[in-house]
Amino acid sequence: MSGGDVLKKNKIMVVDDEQDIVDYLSIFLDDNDYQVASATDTDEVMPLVEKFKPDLMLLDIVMPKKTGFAIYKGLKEDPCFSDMPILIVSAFSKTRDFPQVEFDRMIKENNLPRPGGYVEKPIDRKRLLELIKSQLGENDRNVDNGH
Amino acid sequence: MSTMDIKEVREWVCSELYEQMPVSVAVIDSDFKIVDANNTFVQTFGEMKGRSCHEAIKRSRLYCEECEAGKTFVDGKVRINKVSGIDRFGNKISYLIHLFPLVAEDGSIPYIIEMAADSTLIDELQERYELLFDKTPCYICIIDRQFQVIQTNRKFRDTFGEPGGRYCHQVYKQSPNICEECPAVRVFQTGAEHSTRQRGVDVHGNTTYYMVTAAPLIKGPDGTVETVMEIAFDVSRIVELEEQIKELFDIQEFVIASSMDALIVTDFKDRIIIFNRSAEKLFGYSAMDVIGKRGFFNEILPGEFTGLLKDNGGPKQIRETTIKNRDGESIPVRISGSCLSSEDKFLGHAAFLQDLRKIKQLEDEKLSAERLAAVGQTVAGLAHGIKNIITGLEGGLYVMKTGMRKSDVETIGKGLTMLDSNIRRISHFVREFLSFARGKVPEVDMTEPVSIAAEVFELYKYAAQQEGIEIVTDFQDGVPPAPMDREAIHTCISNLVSNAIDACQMSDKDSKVITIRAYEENETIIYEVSDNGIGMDYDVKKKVFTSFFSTKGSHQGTGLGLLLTKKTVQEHGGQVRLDSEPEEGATFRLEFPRNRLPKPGGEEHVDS
Repeated sequence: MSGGDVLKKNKIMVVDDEQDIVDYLSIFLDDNDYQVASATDTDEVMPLVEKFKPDLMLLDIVMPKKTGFAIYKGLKEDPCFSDMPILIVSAFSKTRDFPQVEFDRMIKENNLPRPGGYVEKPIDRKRLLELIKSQLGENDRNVDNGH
Repeated sequence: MSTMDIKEVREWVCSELYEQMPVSVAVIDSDFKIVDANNTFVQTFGEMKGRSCHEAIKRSRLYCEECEAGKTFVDGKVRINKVSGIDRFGNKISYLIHLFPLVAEDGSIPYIIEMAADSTLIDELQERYELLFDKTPCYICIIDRQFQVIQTNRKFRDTFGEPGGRYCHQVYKQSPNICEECPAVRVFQTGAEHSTRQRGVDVHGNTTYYMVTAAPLIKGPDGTVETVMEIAFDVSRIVELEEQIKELFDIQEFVIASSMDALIVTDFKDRIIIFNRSAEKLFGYSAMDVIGKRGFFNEILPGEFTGLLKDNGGPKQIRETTIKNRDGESIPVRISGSCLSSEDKFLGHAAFLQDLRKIKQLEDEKLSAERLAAVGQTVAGLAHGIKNIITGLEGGLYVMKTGMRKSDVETIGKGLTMLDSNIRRISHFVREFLSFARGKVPEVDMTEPVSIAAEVFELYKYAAQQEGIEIVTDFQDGVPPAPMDREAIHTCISNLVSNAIDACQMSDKDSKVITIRAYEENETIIYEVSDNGIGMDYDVKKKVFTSFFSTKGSHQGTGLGLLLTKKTVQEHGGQVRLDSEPEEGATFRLEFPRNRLPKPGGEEHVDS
């Protein structure tokens, strides 16, 4: 968890097995005045969600132990977190690559709500921020995308 | 005698003749009383003078029903009568009795001479011949020149019904016309015997086949055949069997002709008797040219196959070999066949050849398609890997810039570390990718397949032990050497064992076991690596051979290992199979059919 700044509004949790990505996104989101928590081990996700109670989650799909889908399904089926917006952040293309296509198929098959959005790596920070804001309903906030 | 005059001689002869002639003669009066009888009569019936003739001949007091002597007494006509009687010894005898009236000067008939000739033997013979005629188990009929059936035996009547004065074609065939190849016509024309096979209709309306021989029976004084005897045998069953055989033969002919396999058969003298259309197509010879040719079987078929046939025994097969066609072109074939024999009698040889060219072509195309697909997957995976690295680099740069903006040395350092680690990832990635993409031609040498697995076991057993994992082996003895790239196969098995160790490490099970098997089955060399680790779910299994797919976390795997394994196996003409359920472990199986292995020295495949 990065800092405990009470002035910062919404809480975002980053889940990715790559430490670099987690560090990158954490610093970027922190810069944009979000409270950030992160997990690289899928086993740590649920305990952290319950403790941190994020307003939004950035979730990778392909990870060891548990897939992104398993985490997604767990959250969407949990009444406490089913309303939490989740953005999928993946190096796989949404329409072409197998894991992403398979993710979509599984969502349909399990009658789960679609994610709040997809962000493909390398990350377009401006777009990511816009998506986050739109999901959190904070469109009037200033954007610091680092440029 | 010399003293006798001619009259006396004549009387004496008459008297002797009367007494001694081998016919019983009696003179009876109109009361049927015997007034005189000759010696033969007495010898046969006893002394009967003064007694009635029926008493003498039949030992009966009643007049004979069939006796016609009464009529002769009235009309004076000579009559011949057939009578059966009993001789003085009580034996039954048949007689042919001639009745002659002795007419007095006044025209009255006081006496009749009865001459009874013994016909017992003739009757017996006649009866026997009639019986023989009637009971003969073939159809017999006698036909006159008008083709009217005048006599038939019982079997004939049972089959064709009572002729009742009908013509032979009406009886035999229920046809109003004379038969086309009527044997009787020929006999009437030529006087010589003649045989044909005919189809008739029996009394129940069923078709019946018979073999009929017609022969002249009675000829007139000028040699004209008056009647013909026809003897016919029922051959319906034979015709039925013939038809069945013909049907079978036709089917066989059709099957042989339309078979996709080339079929070559020789007789016991090693002469070609079957060379079907597919054989013509495969070898380029026409059946006309080779049928009957001796030694041709051995000439065109591979020695390794004809050699096998010499061992007799059951069917022989060579899964893959080559033959040369008429133009000298080598053609890959599968060949099977056997030595034909019946009850220890050698009948010949048969060979079936399957042209493998099309199959080979399809296999090659499949192999190319698989390789192309692998390239496609690689490119997709490459993009994914690069995107991850770019994200890492971009992240590093962002973090560094953020640090600089905030004059935060720690953040700058973090950014630099990220840049550094991702640049190192690029190097590692490029190295592995190159070894994958370079498409190194397998360096193939004859090597003992099991020994490769044994080496991998030696390499990993201590490392595994340290992780609390037991490796057990199951190696088959005596698997013959095979052309393989030892180093590449070693890498493949190592990859599988390394993966298995990772899968076990991730598992919570107390007893973690990896099994390495190496054996040969159906001419296929098989390596199996099983573990009881975490296993794989459907998603992972589906993508496990895709480039850059890794479950090992950020920096542990490039995701190229299994893809490299698959590529190596494919280059050896083999395939990788995976069997896994979540929490139940996984089994990877590398299968190398011997006939698809590359040739030693870098040539493409054993079979090409």
